[in-house]
Amino acid sequence: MSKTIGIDLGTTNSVVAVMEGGKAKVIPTSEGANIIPSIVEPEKGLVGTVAKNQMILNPAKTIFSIKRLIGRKMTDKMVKDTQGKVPYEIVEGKAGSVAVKVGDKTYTAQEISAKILQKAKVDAEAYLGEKVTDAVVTVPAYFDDSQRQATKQAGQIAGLEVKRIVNEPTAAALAYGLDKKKSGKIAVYDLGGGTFDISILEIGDGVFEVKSTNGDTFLGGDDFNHVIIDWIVAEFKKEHNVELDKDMQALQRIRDAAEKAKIELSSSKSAEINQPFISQGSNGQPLHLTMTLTRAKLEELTGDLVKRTIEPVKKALKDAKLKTTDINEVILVGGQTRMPLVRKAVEDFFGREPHKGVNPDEVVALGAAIQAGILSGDVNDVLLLDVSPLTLGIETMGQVMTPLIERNTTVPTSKSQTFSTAADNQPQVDISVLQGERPMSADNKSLGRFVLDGIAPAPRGIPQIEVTFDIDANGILNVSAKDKGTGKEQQITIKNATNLSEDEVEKMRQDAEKYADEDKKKKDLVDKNNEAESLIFQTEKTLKDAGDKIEEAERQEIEDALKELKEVKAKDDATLESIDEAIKKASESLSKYGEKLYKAAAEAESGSDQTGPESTEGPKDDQPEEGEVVDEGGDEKKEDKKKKK
Amino acid sequence: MTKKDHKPTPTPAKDTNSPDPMIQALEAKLARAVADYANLEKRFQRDSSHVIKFATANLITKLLDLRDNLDLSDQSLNDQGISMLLAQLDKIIQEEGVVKVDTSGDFDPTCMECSELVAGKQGQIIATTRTGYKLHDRVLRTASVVIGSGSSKGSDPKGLKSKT
Repeated sequence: MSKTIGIDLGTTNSVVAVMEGGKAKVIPTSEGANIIPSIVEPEKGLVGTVAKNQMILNPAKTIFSIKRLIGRKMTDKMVKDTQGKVPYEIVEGKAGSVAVKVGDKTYTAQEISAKILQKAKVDAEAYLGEKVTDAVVTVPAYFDDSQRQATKQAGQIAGLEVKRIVNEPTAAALAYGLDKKKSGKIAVYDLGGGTFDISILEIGDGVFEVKSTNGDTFLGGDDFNHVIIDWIVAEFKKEHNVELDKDMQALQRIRDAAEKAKIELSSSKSAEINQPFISQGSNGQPLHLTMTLTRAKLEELTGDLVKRTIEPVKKALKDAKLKTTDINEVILVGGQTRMPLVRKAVEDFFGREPHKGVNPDEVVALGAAIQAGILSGDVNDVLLLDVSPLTLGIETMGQVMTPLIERNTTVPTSKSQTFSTAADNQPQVDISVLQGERPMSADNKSLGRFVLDGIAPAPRGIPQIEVTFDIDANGILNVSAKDKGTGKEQQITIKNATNLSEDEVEKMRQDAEKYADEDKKKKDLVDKNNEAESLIFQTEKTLKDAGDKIEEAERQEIEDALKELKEVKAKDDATLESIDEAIKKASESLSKYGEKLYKAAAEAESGSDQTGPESTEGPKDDQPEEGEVVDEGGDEKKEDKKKKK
Repeated sequence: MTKKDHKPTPTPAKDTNSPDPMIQALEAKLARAVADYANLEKRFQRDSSHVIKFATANLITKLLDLRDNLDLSDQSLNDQGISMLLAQLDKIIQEEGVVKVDTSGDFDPTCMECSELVAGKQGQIIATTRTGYKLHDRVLRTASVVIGSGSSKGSDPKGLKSKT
């Protein structure tokens, strides 16, 4: 069964989305964008950006805003209005329907829309890597039966079974999860590129009902752009006495700059509009366009446009027989609603803050995808998975915490890591399960501990103990330790590892931040100590194996350096620097005789028995790393640990 | 240890021929979740190599605006210094694998945009008002070209402002 996609088939732009892993996601087009311009050149078979690119070259054959015509009759006012505004020919199709004439052929509005839906289908298939045959398509709430049917037909022509036609405001409400509410009244304010729509919905038991709709079909973001362009042209004329709008190229640059500035002013208080060499003066010298557009000025220029949206809203409320105070939720749809002035106007009118958080350009498509998911059984009762709120791990050498499962990991999940012993011939390991964010184990919460014994005698670092953390779907944590050598295994079950109160979790996180610097110092010291340990152990082993292949004087020098390192390390006031220095000294003396030493050691090894072939080298994930397991006894046996290290 | 009762293995109450719908539903959900995950992994692989390939694309696209203005200065001021700057910037862009859209041939809407119709041979590219660029097989920016209308008249400047 293939996935059902959600398609926002817009007047100016269309967007496609799908449910993945319980979340709605916009599908990128083959060009790498998130929108498909709703533009079609049926003769050449061009759809989207490609069609838009040749629109000016080919105005009579490039069809745009077909949504204004689909499902209508030739006698509709909208059709007549559109006819006056577009360069392509609108003719009567079968049974009084609306069609366009392109060259010798006539295409119904359905056939044109189908081309857009087909591109949506193809791009979705490329993205999902599977065939797509079903879709949910959105339409304006005011679409009548004939328009809805025609939209469904368009889907059929495109090879898509339209499982449902959903109202755009309803889709938006779904995207905000408002279907979960038991009851309420929702206002959806949709200010897109070319049209403004206001819808009042009522929700009851998961079912949406459209109470009223209103709007302005020729008011949108484009109008805001035009106002800015006009201002720029007027200002430039004042200053340089040159009419920029007579120059196509200059106008194109200004248009792009105006839109950029408009967008910038949604987050900044002022925007620079700089276009050098925009034109030439009367004496041939270059003229530059340098202006600053402030948010205040923009709001002054566009104030009337925003006010124009309020009347239809008032009418819609009146038709729904409601007052502003009756509205429980307000949703914003359409890119232009990002403008602070628009948001403020909406908030002031309804007396409540509109929902935000979902991209207003994508909210309708995302809602369609959610509906698609519900219909195909993807989103029945969305399986909400828990996360592990705090990091889980075990205590390792130096009393540090080594994480196994990071916080915010989605559960159920399982993670394994191999550890080893801290001392030679260590017969058992003590697994102390910890929860928390701080590097030192004592600062974290202990969830439980157990012992795995029966480890065969071996030098430290040789045994392989695989520790596995497993959290099941009920939040129960199972920690097991297995000696890969003997096959012996022990485990512990901890309930409620993911069951912490918000406050507890927050406190632990805050503590981790608060003590981050101190903790880091402690941990660094421990790591440095461990590094020294390893060096001492390795060097002693190498010396032993070299036997008499190394001269007495050389051996003495190395042993002295090691002795010093041990002393420095054992001091209570040992610091990172002092240990590091001692390590360096020891390393230096070692490398002086290094080549000789290792050669001698290698010869010795090839002659003797080896129990752990992968002991010193090997791929990292096989090898125990820094996390060497603390041996028997817990925190109380600090003395022993120091010795055994 | 407790004594175990030796009960026979309990047989399922339902007829084994008709599968439990609850189990079926769960199996379906599981399959879906696993499939989604597998697909996410695949997509991640694709996207990773995609991100690496196009990591610099955004930055370069921003630089193209700068290049445009530098080009305008170059044309207007005829200063060798500026020409050198332009050449240097072009070299950097080129080294990233970005190539110019060739507008010497026919109009190609996949990488070119017709901004205006002017007097000239019909359908022929008369001039390039903005250079286009491609990175690998992706169009970073379409070339903006001016095309012949086949008559001696130019386009209607108001045409660009009309709505719908």
